[in-house]
Amino acid sequence: MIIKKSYSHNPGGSCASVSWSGVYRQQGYNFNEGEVFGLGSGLYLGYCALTNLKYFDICLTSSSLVEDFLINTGVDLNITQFSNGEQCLNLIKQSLDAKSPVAVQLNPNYCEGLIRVTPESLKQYLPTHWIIIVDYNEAEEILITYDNRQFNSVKISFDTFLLARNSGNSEQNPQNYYYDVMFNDSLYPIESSIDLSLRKTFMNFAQIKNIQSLYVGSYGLEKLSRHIAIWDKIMTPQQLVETLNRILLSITGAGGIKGGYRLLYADFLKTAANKSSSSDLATASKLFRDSAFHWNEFAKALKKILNKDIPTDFEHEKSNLTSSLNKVFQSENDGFNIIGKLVS
Amino acid sequence: MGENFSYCISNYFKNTHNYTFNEELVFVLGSCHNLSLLSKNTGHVVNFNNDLLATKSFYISGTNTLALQNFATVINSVLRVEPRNGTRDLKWIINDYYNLEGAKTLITLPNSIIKEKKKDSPQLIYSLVHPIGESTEEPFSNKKINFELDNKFSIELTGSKFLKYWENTSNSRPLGINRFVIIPPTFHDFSKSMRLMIINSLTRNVLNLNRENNEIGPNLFLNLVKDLNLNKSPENLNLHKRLLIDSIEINSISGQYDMSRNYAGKCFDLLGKQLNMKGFEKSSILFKKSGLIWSNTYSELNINPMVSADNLKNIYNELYNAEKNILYSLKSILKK
Repeated sequence: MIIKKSYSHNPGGSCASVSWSGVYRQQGYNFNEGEVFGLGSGLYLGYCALTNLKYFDICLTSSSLVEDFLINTGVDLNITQFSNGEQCLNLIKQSLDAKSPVAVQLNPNYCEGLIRVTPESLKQYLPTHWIIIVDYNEAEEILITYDNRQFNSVKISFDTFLLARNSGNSEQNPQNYYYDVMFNDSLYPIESSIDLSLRKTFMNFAQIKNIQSLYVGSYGLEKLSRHIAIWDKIMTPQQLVETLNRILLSITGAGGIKGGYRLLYADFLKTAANKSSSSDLATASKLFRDSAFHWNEFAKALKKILNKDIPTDFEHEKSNLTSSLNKVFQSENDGFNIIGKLVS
Repeated sequence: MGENFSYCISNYFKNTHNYTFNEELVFVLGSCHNLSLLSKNTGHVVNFNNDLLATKSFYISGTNTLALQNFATVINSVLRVEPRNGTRDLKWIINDYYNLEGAKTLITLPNSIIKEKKKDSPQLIYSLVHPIGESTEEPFSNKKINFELDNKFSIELTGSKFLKYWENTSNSRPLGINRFVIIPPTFHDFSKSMRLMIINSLTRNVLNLNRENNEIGPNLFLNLVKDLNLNKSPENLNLHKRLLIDSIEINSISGQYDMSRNYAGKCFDLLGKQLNMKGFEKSSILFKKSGLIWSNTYSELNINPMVSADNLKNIYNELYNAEKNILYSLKSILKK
């Protein structure tokens, strides 16, 4: 029992941000959830459209949030994939022995706290989930962990952990990836980290069209807005329900997130504005608050449709959906115009 | 080592994707230029202390061991580290080449695969792998495979010999012996994005070298001088000599012995001209100057069996100035 007593857990909505905030805090660096999210260039818009398969989904956080957060703050990272889960577990124990908590991804179905708060219809769409391990007990064969939305620690048996590290569908299986981090004597100066992260987020939003079938940034938003108008024409009611459920989960993070993660980004921009005394960043922060409001409106419209008669109500709510998205586009575009001028 | 990384990544894209990431661009985007004291056991930066050289388990790295991660992140690509899976990897290497119009597989390997190499180290080498000859029904283990390490150096091995290197390596080694897949994004305007990406990589490069650590960047040499001043015994002088010789050898694949500084100079020169970016030419000259000092150091230490504390201090001071000037020039690019 090494770390538990000294580890203080700060719950929040974004599992990756909360877990890595905890890892850094234990090293003496205090970044709140919004700062981890922002410094990790976490704000994202990816729209996946596989028209032939009638598969549509959105992604509102960057899949490389953790990698970017580490790289932008000056912490070295090696990612290894273990074919042997026990070998990875031993490495985790070594890290815990050295008083360093470990952030890992699990199959969400093995995360009791998350499953308990997730609506039944959304459970199957939960993606890989980050938790932080702070201690272990060899005699009882358990790990002591914290889940982002819970205040209390959660015990996971070694056996369950090994299953949770390599099971589930392609969206849920963490495939035994291990993030081996090395803290140097100091992090980068915070102003530089902010600068690096803003440039990366701007790149994602304004400079990239797509990665394979994922349409990205402003281009993705435009595509999504156009495609929504025809979804009820090309999908069966069941496909439509599945799509809307998946999208609702992406925006709300099973209820833990407000405004499609945009509030977290607005918080980060506010911090960045204070650090650099930049009124431009303060304005951008307000624009992302607006965007969060419109994402909430979009989510409300989705819920309304899902609670009623599909596809009749989809037809009725379609204009609300596209109107919210257009407002999102406007706010985020204006926000990135400001950020673009600062970083280009 | 910079040559090895840039060649493999650049040529990996040539065979699999439409974008041209030429070698010089890959070198800069990977924040490949580096200077840090690493542990031979773990590949991690080691903590400097007064009995630094009491063991022989350190070396100076002139290339960023995390260059692939840096490159993939800065271009916003998807980087997949694939699990090692013995013969299935071999099948992947062979099938990809024949089925995907000559696509070569990108892997990392221990440098012990190069028999000519004088020093083993945790510094992995990159390789593009592909089978030789026409597709036949012969067993994978007999099939000859080519390993391209840079534009001058390649190795041929049978499938079964390759598996010995592939399977006998520990999973927890730094960076990992692995097979990689990189999927780049499609840019609205590649050249405009490129400038933004270059600024981000150079910023990160400068931040890394400019840490207030004693083990990273030019300050490393000041601390080596300090260590010499504390202990001028013949044993310690010999340890310093070995540190320099071993480091230069570990950092060289095909006999350049210049810590990839001449290659870095070439990359900055070409990239500066291609993109008409200010300050790159000056950096290029300074990289080449440093390369000359590193290769002269290697020759001098190999020729002179006895080296004095003053000789070593002069070498460290020369290297300090050369590397400090490179750092200043990179900083000044960012100010332009």
